[in-house]
Amino acid sequence: MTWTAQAQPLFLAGVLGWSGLAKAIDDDPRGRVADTALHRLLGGRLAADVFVALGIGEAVLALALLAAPGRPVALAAVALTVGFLAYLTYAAVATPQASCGCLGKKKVRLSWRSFARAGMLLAAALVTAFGAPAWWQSPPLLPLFLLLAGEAALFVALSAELDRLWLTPLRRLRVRVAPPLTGTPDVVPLQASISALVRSPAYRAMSAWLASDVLDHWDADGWRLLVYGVRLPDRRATAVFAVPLAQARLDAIRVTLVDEEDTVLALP
Amino acid sequence: MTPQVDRRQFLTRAALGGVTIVGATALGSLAPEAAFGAAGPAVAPGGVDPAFAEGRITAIAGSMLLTAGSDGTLNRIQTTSGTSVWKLTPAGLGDVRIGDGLYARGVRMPDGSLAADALWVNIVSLDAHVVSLASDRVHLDHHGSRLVGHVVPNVSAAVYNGTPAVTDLSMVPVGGHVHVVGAWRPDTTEIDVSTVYAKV
Repeated sequence: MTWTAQAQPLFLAGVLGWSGLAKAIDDDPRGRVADTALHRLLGGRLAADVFVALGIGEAVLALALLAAPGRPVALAAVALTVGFLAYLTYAAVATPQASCGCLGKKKVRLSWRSFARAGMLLAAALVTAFGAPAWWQSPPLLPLFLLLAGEAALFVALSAELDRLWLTPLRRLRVRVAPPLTGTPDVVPLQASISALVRSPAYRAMSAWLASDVLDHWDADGWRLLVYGVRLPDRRATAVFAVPLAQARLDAIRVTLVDEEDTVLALP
Repeated sequence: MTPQVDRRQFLTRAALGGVTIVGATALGSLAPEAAFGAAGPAVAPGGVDPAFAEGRITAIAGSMLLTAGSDGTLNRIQTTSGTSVWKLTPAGLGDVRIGDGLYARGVRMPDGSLAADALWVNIVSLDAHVVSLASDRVHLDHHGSRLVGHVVPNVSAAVYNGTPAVTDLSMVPVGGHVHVVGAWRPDTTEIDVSTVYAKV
C-alpha cells in the first residue's frame, strides 16, 4: 500500500499551493489579517508581512513536494503543519472570537473543524516523512486518484470557509425539495398591523403624545384594535387605533382618545 | 363578562364610532408640534438618559423590578397598569421573570426610581445570516456564533422586501442576510422570533 504514501505529497502540494498562492497574491493582506489571531499575535503591519511571506513559503513548499518529495521536504511540511496547530491553539486561547485567516477570503471562527483540518495535514506530512517512492514511480492510477479525491473532499468538508460552495447550496436544495416552514395559519401577524399603523396619518398625529408601546390588542369586525398609553399635558389617557385587517389605505386607520374616566375625547 | 372584555368592547365602540364623543378637548392643542415643542429633559451628549434604563432583573417586589445594568448601574423600575410590557408579544407583568433582560423607558421619580411607561423584555435586534431552516426553527449565524431562532406559531412573522409582514417564513433565504427582532431566552443562544426582515 505504498501508493497511499505516494499520494500524500500530491495532496499536501495541492492544499499548500492553493493556500499559498491565495495568500501571496492577495491584494489586501492587511484587510485579510485585520480580524485574525495573527493580527493579535504580531500586530497589524508585521502580521500582513508574515501573512504574505507564509503564502510564498507554502507555495515554494508545494513546488518542492511535487519536484523532490524526499524526507527533508517532508520534514519541512511536518514543521509547517505543527506550526499551524500551535497557531490554532494560541488563537483558540487568546482570541476565540477571531478568524484564523487560514484559507480563502471568507472569515470564519475557529472550531473543531479547523483543528481536524490541521491534523489531517499533519498526518499527511508525517506519512510523507516516513518515506515512500516518489509519486511518479508507477503508482496505481485509479486508486491514487480516488484517494486524492476522497482526501480533497474531506479537506473541503472540514473547511468552514468553503461551506458556501457546497453546504449552503445543499441546504437550499433541501429547503426547496421539502420546505420546512410551510403550512402556517393564514393570520395577519401583529407586526403587519403595527407596520401599517406607524406609517399612518393617525399615528403621526398622535405619536408625540404616545408614552407606551402596545398595551393591549384584539380583533373585532374586521379591524385590529391597538391600545397605547398617552401622556397629555394635564392627564393620562388611552389611544385606541383601529387598523383594518385587510390591507387598506393608510388613511383608513382611525384613532380615538379615551381618558382615565372613560371620557371619549375629540381629536383636533 | 370580565372587566377586560367589557373594557375592550367599550374601546372598540369608541374607536369604530359606536360611542358619542362626550368630552371635547379643552386640553389645549393636541397637535404634534405642541408635544415636540415642549422642553424635554436635558441630556448632555454622552450623558445618561434619566428616562431610560436597561439591565437584568435581579428581583421582583410586587410591581417594582430591580435591575442590574450592563455597566453595573442598579435601577428600581416601578410598573403600573399603564406600563406596556413586550415579551415577544404584548404581555403583562406576570410574564416577567428574574433573570430576564429589559429596556425600560419612563419618567424618573424624585426617589430615583423609574416610573416605566414601556418595558421591552429580552428584546434583541440583530443582523445574521441564515444557516438553515427546520420545521420549527431558523438556524442563524451572528458574527460567527450560531443562534437558534424558534418560530412561534401565529406570532413569528417575516417581512419580505419591505412588504407587509406575513406568518409564512418558508421563503427566508438560506445563506442570505436577514435582520431579526426577537425575544432572547435568557442565558442561552436561542431566541423566539418576532420578525425576520429578509430580501428575496
